[in-house]
Amino acid sequence: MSQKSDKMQSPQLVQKSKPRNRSDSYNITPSWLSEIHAQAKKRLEIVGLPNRRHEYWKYTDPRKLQNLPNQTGLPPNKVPVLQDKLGVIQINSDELNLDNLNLNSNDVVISTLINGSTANKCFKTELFGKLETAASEMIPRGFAIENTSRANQGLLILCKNGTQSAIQIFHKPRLEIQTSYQHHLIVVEPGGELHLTESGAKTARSNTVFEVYVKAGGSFHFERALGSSQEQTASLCSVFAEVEKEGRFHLFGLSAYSPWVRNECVVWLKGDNAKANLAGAFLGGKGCHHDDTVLVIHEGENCESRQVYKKVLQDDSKGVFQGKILVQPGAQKTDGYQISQGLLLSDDSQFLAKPELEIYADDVACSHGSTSGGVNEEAMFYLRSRGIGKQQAQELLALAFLADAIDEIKDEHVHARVTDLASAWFARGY
Amino acid sequence: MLSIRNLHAKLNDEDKPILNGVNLEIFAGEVHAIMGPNGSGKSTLSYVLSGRDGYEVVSGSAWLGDQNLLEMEPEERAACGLFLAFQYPVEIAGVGNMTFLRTALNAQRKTRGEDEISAADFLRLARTKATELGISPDLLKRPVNFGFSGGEKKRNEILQMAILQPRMCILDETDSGLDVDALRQVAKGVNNLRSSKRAILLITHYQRLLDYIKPDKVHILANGKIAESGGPELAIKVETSGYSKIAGETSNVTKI
Repeated sequence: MSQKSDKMQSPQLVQKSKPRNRSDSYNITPSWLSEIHAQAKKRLEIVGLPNRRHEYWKYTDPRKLQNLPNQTGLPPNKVPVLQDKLGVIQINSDELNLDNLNLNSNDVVISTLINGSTANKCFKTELFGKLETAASEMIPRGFAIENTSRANQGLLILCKNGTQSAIQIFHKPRLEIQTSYQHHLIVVEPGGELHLTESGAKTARSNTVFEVYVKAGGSFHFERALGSSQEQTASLCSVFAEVEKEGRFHLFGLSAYSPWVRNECVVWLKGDNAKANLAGAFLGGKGCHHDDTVLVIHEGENCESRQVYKKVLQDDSKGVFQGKILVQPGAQKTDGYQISQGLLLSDDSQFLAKPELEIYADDVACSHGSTSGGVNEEAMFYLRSRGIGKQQAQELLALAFLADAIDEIKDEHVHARVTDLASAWFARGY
Repeated sequence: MLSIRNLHAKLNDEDKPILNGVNLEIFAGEVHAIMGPNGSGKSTLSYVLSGRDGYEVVSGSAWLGDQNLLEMEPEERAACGLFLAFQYPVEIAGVGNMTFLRTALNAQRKTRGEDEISAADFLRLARTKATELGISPDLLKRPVNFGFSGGEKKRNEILQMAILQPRMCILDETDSGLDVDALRQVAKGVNNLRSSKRAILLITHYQRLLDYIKPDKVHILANGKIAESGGPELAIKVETSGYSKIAGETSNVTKI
């Protein structure tokens, strides 16, 4: 990615951490946000939090997010760096201390929810919660509504018309904080290009929402590498995105050995010729549960969407994939693709997949596939016959299996980082 | 070097024996060829020696030097210096050829208690060997055997052999699926590896390969045992009169 010369000196650190206590943070919730909180609370009263009887929670027990014992995730020794090129804006988030962040350059505006003045100037605050509300009207999403009803932590990012920016968010959880609700709003203006990465460990319980608007011809790349905490943690992340004509939306998530993860994503391809690439790679071990629940809604004509999800499942880990391509009337020439695969490395592991297509247009091409199985024994023997031990051979094949999902990352540099990280996380093996 | 005594083997889930008492002694520096009709047990012999799952050794022994092959895992056999060039090299999408080769070499060195080779040294080694075998550098960058032509796959096997430097090489129908030019190149690669410290066992249907790689001894495998052994002239006899004539002297092979 090219950056303007005035930003080439060094990575910028846009975080002045002036410690605040929690009550301060709550006190300064701006009025526009309080109003949204109040509306969401009303919706939550009607919808309620999900339970196991809900079709969308058939494979994943939602109580884990609520009933986690009070303990924290261990901060990782090293927060993985996914982007380290010059000009990348670095944001350290210790979950409740984003308050002082404020950047307004020619290319990008970054603010926080409670930094009211900037938010009001640069953002239409009515966008906040809008996509979540739309998504929750289709399928009740109690946790996302709960997030909108109380989150006062979050980033507001505006990538300006025709500019390029790269932002990296690091998470370093504060150990005394058990639960976090973050709600981020991202707008990529026409022709803008935003590369966002997120890495590190979340608090013990995290409920995160991203709302993303990609305007005409804009492109948004978002890679996440989270988890890898040994303690019991539960993380729910909902990404809601609206993509206008010729817009590009890329989402990739890597996670390893996370006890309980549910990633939801809803993308509306609103304008013609828009594209969405959604991919995820998961390495699971003892006691891990990982769920990707994805919905892509084709509204514009000639749009393309891909879903590529791969899960390596060891011990008694469980991988879940629920993916749907919904083609609305008039969304002709849709090209939809979906693949979900589980590599079962133990007899006790499980891969549960629910691929769905729902099509209301007559001139579309949609394909979907889902497989689960063990390692290829032929390949295993080939590698071992060359002197590679069983464990290492299995690792090579497991990483090769994940490569299809990782290959969806367009940026070579981030691709290499994520590949290395997957390998390191796999080798660590807990 | 390789000493096989009265080896009997069968498939795990079937009772029918495939190897019925194979005896074979190969000394360092020698090149032997095993010829035989389809179903005579040639490939089974190579799989049993290299430790593939699915076969059960009923009785007999196989030693590589002073090491009991049959007691070892496949990767241990490789580290001891056994190498099987596959009849059908396996395509492995997602694993780069270079990564594969370096991982294999370092795994073997580690098992033997040697230091790992550095990335730079390995790169030099791989490029040199590839050039000698007429393998394009592009092939090193691609996933293991993935989308390789038949000739490229076989050449890649020889490249692995050249890099891993095993002391006992078994080549299972390395000539199958090769045109004359590719066959020459593969044979040249194998001939370059001939040494007084290394033994080579060629498994083949046809005498053609033996025009390019001259064996010291030729054995005919029929009904799971060595039916006849001799010099290179035995291969020519097979070519002119067929297997049934030779093997038929001991038993009827065509029923296998």
